[in-house]
Amino acid sequence: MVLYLTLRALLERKTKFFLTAGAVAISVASVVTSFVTVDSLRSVLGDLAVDVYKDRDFIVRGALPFGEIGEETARSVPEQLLESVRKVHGVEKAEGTFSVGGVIPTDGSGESVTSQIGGPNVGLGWTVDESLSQLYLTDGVRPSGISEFAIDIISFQEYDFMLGHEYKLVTPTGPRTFTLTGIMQFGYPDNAGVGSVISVFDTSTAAEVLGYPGQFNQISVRVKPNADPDTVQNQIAQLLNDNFEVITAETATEEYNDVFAGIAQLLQNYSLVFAFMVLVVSTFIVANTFNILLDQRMRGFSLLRCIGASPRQIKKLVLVEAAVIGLSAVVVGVGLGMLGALGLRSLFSALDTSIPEGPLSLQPRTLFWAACTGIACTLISSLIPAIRASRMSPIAGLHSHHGDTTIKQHRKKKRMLLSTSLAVIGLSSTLFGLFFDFGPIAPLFDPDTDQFDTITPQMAFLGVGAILVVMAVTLLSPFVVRVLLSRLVHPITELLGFTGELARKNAVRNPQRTAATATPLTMGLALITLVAVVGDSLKVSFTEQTLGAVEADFFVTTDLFSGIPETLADDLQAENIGNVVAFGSDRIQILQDPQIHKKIHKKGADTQPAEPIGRSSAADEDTASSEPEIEVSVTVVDVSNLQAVADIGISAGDLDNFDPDSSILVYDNAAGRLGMTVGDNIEVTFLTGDTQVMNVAAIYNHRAFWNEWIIDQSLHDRVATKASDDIISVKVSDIDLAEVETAFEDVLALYPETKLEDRQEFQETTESRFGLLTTFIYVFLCFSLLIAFMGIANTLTSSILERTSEIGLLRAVGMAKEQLRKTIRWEAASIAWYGASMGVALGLIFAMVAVLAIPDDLASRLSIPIFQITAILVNTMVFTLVTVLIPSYRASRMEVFRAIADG
Amino acid sequence: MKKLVKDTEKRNDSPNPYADSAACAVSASKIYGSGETEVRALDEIEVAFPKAQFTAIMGPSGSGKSTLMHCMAGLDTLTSGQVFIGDTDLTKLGERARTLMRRDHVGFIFQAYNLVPTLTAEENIKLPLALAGSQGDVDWIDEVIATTGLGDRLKHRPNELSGGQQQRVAVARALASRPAIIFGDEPTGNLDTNTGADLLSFMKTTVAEMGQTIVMVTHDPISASYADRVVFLVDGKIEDRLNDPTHQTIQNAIAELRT
Repeated sequence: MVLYLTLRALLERKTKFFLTAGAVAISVASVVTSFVTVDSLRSVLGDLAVDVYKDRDFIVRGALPFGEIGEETARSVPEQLLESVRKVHGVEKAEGTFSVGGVIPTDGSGESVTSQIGGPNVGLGWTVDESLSQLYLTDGVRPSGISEFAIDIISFQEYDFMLGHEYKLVTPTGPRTFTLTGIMQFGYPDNAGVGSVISVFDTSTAAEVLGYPGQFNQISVRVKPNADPDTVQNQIAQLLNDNFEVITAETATEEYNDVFAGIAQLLQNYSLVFAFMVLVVSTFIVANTFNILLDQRMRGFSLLRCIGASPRQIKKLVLVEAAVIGLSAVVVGVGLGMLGALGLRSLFSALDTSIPEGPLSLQPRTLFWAACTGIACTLISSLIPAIRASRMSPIAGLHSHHGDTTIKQHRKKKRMLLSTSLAVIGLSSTLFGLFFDFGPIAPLFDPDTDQFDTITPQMAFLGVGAILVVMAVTLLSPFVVRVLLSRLVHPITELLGFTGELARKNAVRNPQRTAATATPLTMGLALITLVAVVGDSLKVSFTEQTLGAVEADFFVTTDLFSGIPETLADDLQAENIGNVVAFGSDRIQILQDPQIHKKIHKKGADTQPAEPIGRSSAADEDTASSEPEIEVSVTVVDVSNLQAVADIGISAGDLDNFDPDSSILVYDNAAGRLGMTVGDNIEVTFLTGDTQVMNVAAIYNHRAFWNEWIIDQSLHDRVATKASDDIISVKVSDIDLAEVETAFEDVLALYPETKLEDRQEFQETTESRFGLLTTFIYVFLCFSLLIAFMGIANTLTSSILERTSEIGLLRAVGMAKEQLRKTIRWEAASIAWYGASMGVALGLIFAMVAVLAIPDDLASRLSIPIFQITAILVNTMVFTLVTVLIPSYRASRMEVFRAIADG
Repeated sequence: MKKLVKDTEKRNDSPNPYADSAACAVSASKIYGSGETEVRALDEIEVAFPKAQFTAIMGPSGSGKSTLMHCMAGLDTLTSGQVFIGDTDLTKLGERARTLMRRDHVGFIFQAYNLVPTLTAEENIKLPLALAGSQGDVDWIDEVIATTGLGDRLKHRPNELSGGQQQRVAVARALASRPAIIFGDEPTGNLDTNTGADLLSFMKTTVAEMGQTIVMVTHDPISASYADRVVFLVDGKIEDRLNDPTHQTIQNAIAELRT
């Protein structure tokens, strides 16, 4: 019976059912979108990783002293180690393998071959044993010798290639020409492809082409079927010193997947934060809607109570209705969410973000959370109204008149008190976050970060402060809505004449309802404004700093993850057009006080690889973790030439004292954090495991595309394996510009996927990178705005229904249809304007605080994108007006005499 | 606003068959449904409401008295026949023109929900003028406001006024634009006897002293006795008319109609 009544009730209120369910559906959709986007990303990335190490038992590779795996950056394995491994008892087969990124073939039509789904371009060495290399020939013959290569079947099919023809390949050692001899598949014999573009050479050619003659990336080992794997692993380990390690294939695969999982997890966390905000906003809207709807139906409930329904039945009626709404919202929301994910994917590809594209993946977990979101949201929202409805006495309900309601005095006091205290706590938290020195206590908040990171706790305080202030504003909103609407809206509605005035008065009739309707908009716009202002401030600060510090005229960049081959800079230098300076980057580990370090840690500085030292890591790691070692990004550049293209702003020390072999440059913020001065010695560990004591030669205070640490190219070439540049900057000599352009054209023609930019273009690219970040955030925030608009439509539909008689009266005494529509439109606009301007104001305040809190080298000044914010405001108003088109049209269609009779 | 005024002027003028009447209906029919479920709410009604007179329309529930009023006031449309306000044939006007007609030439007093709750008493009185975007005749409005006797309560919202005061404001609102005719739909229906009597006297005064035409729908013989004439409606037809009615003559007429 209850279900029947519920369904009848829902069917009779189709519009409101639709709007309420719609608001919930959108919040479900946002959850689904974020899950699906991340799951799809993960599955694409996972496809790249899964089973890469199939058919091998062990991997011997350079041990990473710190950081995450990455085959290219680790120490490579010398050839002689392969021989030693092969001799180990129980080893059936061992092969040296090679894979390096940044091998880009150019097809017959001159087009460079890149992955369709954003996978990497890799070059592999083809080992003798197919099962160890995971490469399966499908056509032609295996490449052998210095001038032959094979390509994966997907690239062969999608690009213009023919067996036996010559093609240009860009390799880490520069562009070379090879003859295509074979086509192969990677992974399984029947696997179509794993999303990468794979060029294969014979092993020794690979080593040479890829820049590591006489070495391997790693050694793949297969154990004899009758041998004990653990014994074999131990025996191999005996051969290795600290710089190398032997791990099982499962471990390698796990590590590989972990990296991708980490990236996906990060993305998911971000998008879930937004999904959560959307959820909060929609709970608001749904709760408000339920309140209004049930208010209107109190009379109906009273009637039911009079004829014998129990309070329990009434409660059940309301809750079942909420569940039905929630359920249908989940169904629609999942569909919408898939569409959203699809839209997000095409947005990403349209923006050329090199985020891999793949099929959408809808996991059961996604559906579970979607259902939780939708149904929980509606049930929680309807709980209080349901209890209220069930507790009401039958007769009181029959006589109740909805319409203007005022907040009861004692509740008003309570709310005021609560909101004031929230605001006070919030503001103090903000001030505390801004001005308290977190340095000494930072590790309490996050023991994993280096002890000098004060930003995390600071932001935590600011965040809590912001949330409390928003809550305070929300609670306070019903009290200020009347005053603020007069201040904010009155000047405008006055211009609109009588209908505008009537609209404004209608908007403040039920301050609680107006406030509840406007709050989601306030929240949404506060966040959007915050993102816009902070984003713009970061952008402007960064651009100013970059262009201020960089004196180069041209920049060569690439979108490829593998970077620019080092040979490009050499080729450019050979053209004699000016100063060519290449900037690369790598990860290093820094130990501040080598003296102390040496006392505890008796590790040999650089032992020979052949020396058989066992890997007894446990004791070492224990001491290592207690030491103040930090992992940082370092810029690798020819320091002697650096001044020609950039002014890094030496604030202490002198570049003249820079010794390429043992000096390091430090950014003054980093030096300040670590308490370092010129002349200090630090111990630097490279990814290869090499360590070296280095001397701080100078401290600089300008940053652009270089990191907080700078070392010389020549040192890095000697101790590290990574050999690619991120950006090449060129300061042109005083020669003919046309000549310069020809020189660039000639060189860059050899290197597909590289771009030349002048200062203007460089600035634009830099700025657009920030734009991308904010776009991603906007997409999610738009969900919350959509919900806010639905809330406005919902509230107005309800208000119109409640005011049927009044509308009838107005129409009877001569209000024209368009006047009525105008009144409703302006009422919606008043609510929206109130919500939006509050939101922008809050957002601006939050943004100012955030910019204050963000370190100066990231955001040196506040920049308010006035045009952007105005555009957002205008769009909000336009959307609001569009949203109420239907309710206002319906209102104007009401038959006058019926409307009056309804009173 | 200018555009609206123009549209009013465009309305179709044709001679009113009942000269000197403020409004009239000519073989006016309103039929709901068709075939077996057909209901004739108004059945070929001929009626004229003379200027500067107070007419009451009486009849039992479902007699069509409200429908007649709605159609005469341009709130609803006829199935066939004509209604005139002054010389304007409402049946020839579109929705928009009828709205403007109501605004400028018709006044209304309803039983309840007469006033816009967000507006003060004074603003409610000036509502039709505000909707037309005009000042109206300031002296006349002052006079109308004075007659309500509300004095210092003019700045109050409707929910701060008594029921009788609210209905007085409604009458004043109806008078404000000097309409050709005022329709009242049970204006005293929600008032106690004394307050109702006050309001009816007030309405009678406006007819007598200001020359206003009022048509009032009621089922209460006492209320109807304030009118100059009573029209009796039964089953969508006019069954009887009374001039200068008293409570007694009305009771008699009703008793007669029941037989």
